[in-house]
Order: sequence, then C-alpha cells, then structure tokens
Amino acid sequence: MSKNKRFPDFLQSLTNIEKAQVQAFLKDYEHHLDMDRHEERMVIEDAKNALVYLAGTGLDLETCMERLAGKNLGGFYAHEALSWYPLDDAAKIYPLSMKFGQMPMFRLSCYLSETVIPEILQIALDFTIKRFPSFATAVKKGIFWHYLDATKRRYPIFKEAKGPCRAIKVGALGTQSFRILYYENRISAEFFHVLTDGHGGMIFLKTLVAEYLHLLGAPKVCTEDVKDIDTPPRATELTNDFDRFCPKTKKSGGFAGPAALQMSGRRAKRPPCKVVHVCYETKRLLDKAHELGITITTLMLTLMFLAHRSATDTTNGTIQIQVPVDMRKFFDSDTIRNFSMYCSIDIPAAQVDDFEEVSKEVASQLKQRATFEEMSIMMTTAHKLVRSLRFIPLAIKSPVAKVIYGFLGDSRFSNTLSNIGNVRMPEELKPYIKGFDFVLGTCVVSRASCSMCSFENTSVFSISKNTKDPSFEERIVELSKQMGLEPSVSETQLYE
Amino acid sequence: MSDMKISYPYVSRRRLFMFRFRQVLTLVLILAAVICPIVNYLTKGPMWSLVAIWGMIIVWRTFLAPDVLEFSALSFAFRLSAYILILITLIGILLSPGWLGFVLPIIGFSSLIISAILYIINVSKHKTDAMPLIVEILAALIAFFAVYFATGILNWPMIVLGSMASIFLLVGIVAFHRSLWNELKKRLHTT
Repeated sequence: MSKNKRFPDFLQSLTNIEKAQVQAFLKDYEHHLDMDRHEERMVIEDAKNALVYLAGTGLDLETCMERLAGKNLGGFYAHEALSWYPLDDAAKIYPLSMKFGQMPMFRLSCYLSETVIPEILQIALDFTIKRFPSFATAVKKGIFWHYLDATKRRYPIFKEAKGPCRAIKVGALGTQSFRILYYENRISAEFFHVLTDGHGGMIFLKTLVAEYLHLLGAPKVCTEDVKDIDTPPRATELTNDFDRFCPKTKKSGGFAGPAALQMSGRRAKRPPCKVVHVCYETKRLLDKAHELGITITTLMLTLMFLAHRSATDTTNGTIQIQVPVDMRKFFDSDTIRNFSMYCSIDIPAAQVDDFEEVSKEVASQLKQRATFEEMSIMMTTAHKLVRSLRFIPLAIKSPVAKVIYGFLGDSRFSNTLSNIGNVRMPEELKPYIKGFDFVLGTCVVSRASCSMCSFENTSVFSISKNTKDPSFEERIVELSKQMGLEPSVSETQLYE
Repeated sequence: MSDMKISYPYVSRRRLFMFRFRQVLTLVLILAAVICPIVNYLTKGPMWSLVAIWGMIIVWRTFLAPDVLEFSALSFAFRLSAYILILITLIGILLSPGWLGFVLPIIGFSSLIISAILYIINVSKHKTDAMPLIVEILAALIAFFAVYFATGILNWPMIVLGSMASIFLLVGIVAFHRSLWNELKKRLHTT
C-alpha cells in the first residue's frame, strides 16, 4: 500500500476520540513548524508515517503519540535561521581545494540487529538534528573565508543506491553537507569533512541511532557520546578549538614535503572505485599486537607498508602514510567540529621487507611524531597560516589554492590510516547493535585510504580504493592470514 | 567476532560519457585558446582573439566548471551578466568602438531588474543569498558616479541605471536592513 494511502486508512480504523487525539497530535506538530510550506508538509508526513508504523506494531496509540510528540522537534523548525559558524582551521582548506565531484568525505555506519525502518529513521533524524546545529548548515562563500550558514529545513534520509563516500552536491542554495543513508540493517552517515571529523561524526551517528532505537522501544540513554537531544548543545561543542587551544609555541613547521611513492595502477575516474572491509576478531588482533609488543595501529600500519611494497613496481622512493591524530586526547575539548591534526610515518620502500623491522620503525616514528609537542608545532603553524591569510579575498585564495592543490594534490602521502578506535555504546543499547564501520573517502593521487574502528569483538579495517589494481588489499589479507588473524573480507562491486 | 554482514546494493556501472565529453571539450577549448592568438598575430588586424578567448572562458565557467558552492539562480544571473558585460566591453573596445557608453548601462539595468525579480520571487530563501544583488547594486552605483565625475555627461541608460540602483539600495536598507546587516557580517568575517 502506498504511503499516501496508509494514513487515511489508519485514521479510518480509529474511534472518534482517537481521531481527535491524532488531529491534536498533528496540530501540535504544526505549532512547532515555521518554514517553507513544502518543508512543513514533509515533516508532518514524517510524523504520520512514523505513527502509522508504530501503531501497526501493536503499540497503543497513546504510547505512539507520546514517543513521537511534537515537542521533540523543539524550536528548531520554528526559529529563524540566524546562526552561522566560521570554518575551523582544518576545514578551511576543504572548500578552497574542492572541485566538481571531488571533495573530502568520510562515512560512519552502524549495523543493527534488525532491518532499518525508514519511517522511524526519518523522524529520528527530524528530532536529532536540532542537537547538532552546526550540521544543519550549508557551506557558503564569504569575502575572505567560507562559512557554515544555518538552514532551517527537513533533512531527508536516503535509501542507499550508490557507492560509499560519493561527493555531495553542495552547490544549490541551502544544501546540506551530510547525508543519512540506510540499507538493510545499516544506518550510515556520510559527511563532507568541512562539518566535522570522525569523532564528531561518530557522536552524531550514535545519538541518531540511540534516538532511532528509543522510538522503537529501547530505553532512553544519554552519555558523553550519546547526546541528550532535548538539551541545547554546549557552546564549547560548536567552537573552533584550534583557535581556543592553540598552544602558540615559538617553533613552527611546514606542510610541504617530498612526494611519496604511490602504488602502481591507473587512477579511477570517479573514486572510490571499490571499498574493501577486512573484519578481524578484536581479541585475536589485540593478542597478536601484545605478542609483538606493539599497538593495533602499529600492527595495521606495518601491514599497510608491507602491502604497499607489493602494490608498487619500484623501490625508489619513500612510502609515507598519513596518520590523523585526534587533538582531543591532548586537550580538554568537547567540540564536535574538526579537531584533528596528522603525522606522517615515512619508510623508504627499499627498507620495507621484514615485518619486525618495519614494525619497530613504525612504532618508533609514531612515538616521536604523534606527540603533544609535534602536534603543537603543526597546530601553531596551521593557525599562523590561517591568520596570515585572513585578509586576502577568497577570489584570490581560491584559485591559488586550486592551482597548488592541483600540482601537489595529496602526493605528499602514499596512503592514510585513520583509526577511531573502540566505539562505545551504552550497555542498554548493545543488544540492538551488531557493529560499526568507518570508511574514508579517497584522495586525488593516493590509490588507497584506510580506516579502522572496532565495536565489541569486531574490528573493521576498511580500504577505499582509487584504482582497480587489487594487489594492496590482497596482500593485506594474505599477511593477516599468515599471522593467524583469520580475517573475513567483504567488498563492494567495482564501480567502474 | 559478531555475525555482522557487510553488503552493498548493486549499482549499475556509471556512464562516463559526460566525464569524457568534458575532458574532450576542455582539450578543444585549450587548443583553441592557444591557436587563436597565433592566427590573430599572423593575420594582423584587430585583436579578435581576446574576444574569442573570453567567449571560451564564458563557456568553460558557465557549462563545464560552474560554481561548486552557492550555485543559485541569482548568482548564476549575476555571473552571466558580468561575463556578458566584459565580453561586450571587449567587442566595443577591440572590434567596433563607439556604442559602449550606451549599451553597457542598458545591459547593467536589465541585469539589475532580472536579479531583483529573482530575489523578490522567493524572498525568504534569498535572504541569505543577497550578496550577488548587493554587489550588483554597488557596482552600478560606482559606475554611475565614475561616469558622472569623469565626463560630467549622463545619457538616459546611465540615468536609469543609477536611479534604479539607488532605489533598490534604499528599498533594501529600509525593508531588509536586519538581514542585510547579518548577511554582511557573515560575508565579511575574517576569523
């Protein structure tokens, strides 16, 4: 039965008193809406669809209406959109360097025990978005810098129909910079990096999933990472913490460096052309890392170096892997905007041979480079650069950045490993969740980007490919098997 | 390890026709941009190659590499009229002089009228997208005063342009001063 017909039929099945209650319920929604008529109608449709679904599960009408009450919308859809946010220091480069169909994206997914109910997911998003005002924005051009401008509208969910991490068309007026997708039992959130980093994105996804599960009957739980959607965000959650915590060290560094050795293989026309997920048992992975006296990140980086060596035809050059570092571990920050820097682990390809030696080198470089001092230097340099460019109009900055990025691109790195670590969910919600995964969008030059996250006893190592050549991922799997890690592999089709 | 199954929907292979078409057209335009000045130099005569190159830039920026951000009807109209004004100026200066002072202000006020109509059609949506219109009004006023102080003579199209821009500015300040102020604060931020 079509969605349009379901609500009138549902209304027909009610008693007169119940009908009056439903009308009052919808009237309450109208009081919480003051937007474009079309957008208002869509939100009311969402409420109707969710109500019909919940009532269809056998839940009594009163409980359904209580769960879906219009007060959950808060004032978000009724207030005028006046807020705006200057981009944080890390985000400033993204709109400057992006091109048509090419933007830095990442994706976080949560796998549920049951198939996703789109009607409930949509209303959960309608309720959740108000807690994340910096996400309910559109990227705009100022005279000197881009900024995020609040847009009051309904943010639709989409059934997944394309490959992961496709660029979002952010050109039209008021277009969102993130999207929520569902497919079978998976809820995915894809973000344009200008909005947030993996940490902020994960908080958003967890809060959305918690609200979705709550609407379906799970207990309401709020923690530091699962936000209470009925309270306004703290001011510190929306700040540019590069500015707030900049250590202003006297030393400064640079971002340029020698070009890295890239994997062989023709670059895809529209990346990522494939995404590969290698799943490990976390305990087995942890035991192996402990046995070798290294961390899981070091272990995976070592595998990446060795696999990279197999995926390139030459030994001239250095394999350089970019490792993002979450600055929240150094500062007492609760921002949900970008707050990460990166370090580079560099090993000449000719020296990438033996697992033990490579792992020692990786561990030593990680220890030296992912430190507070090194990150402070990089943070200060970035902050100084941003300050020095602030009065140069975008009309000049943008083409210059495009030319520089066009020449250098991301050739400074061969690959990336972003590990957001262990994802924690409240105990009450764990029975409803099977796992999480994290996919990084591909870069321009590097042929692969890797990301990792774990939940309970499952760790998912994801590889986004920018080339058809499968040597890299095949070698990772082969090496993992040799180490007794018994990985299981899932992958998307080849998209070109 | 949990029994988490990772699967993706089947996606039919993407057609790369537009991608390749864009690549070919880019090459053709680059080639033409190199050949035109050479031919122009060898055949002597007026500098028509500059007009041709600017025409190619218009095609490139309008159809092949449009704005990635804020691609609205208002910004498109603004950009297109700016391109056309430059093209007409080049033609007027390089190929057929004598009519520029008359034609440019006509194009200017026509463009102002179009932008104002686009703005009025959906005021609530365009409240945060008024920048092209603001720039257009300011540019028109600057042109009006520049011509007046430089020559002391104003033809009727210039008078229409100047008065129209002044009226729009006044209406904007009176009716939309709050959103105008907010818009300027956002657009001019340096943090």
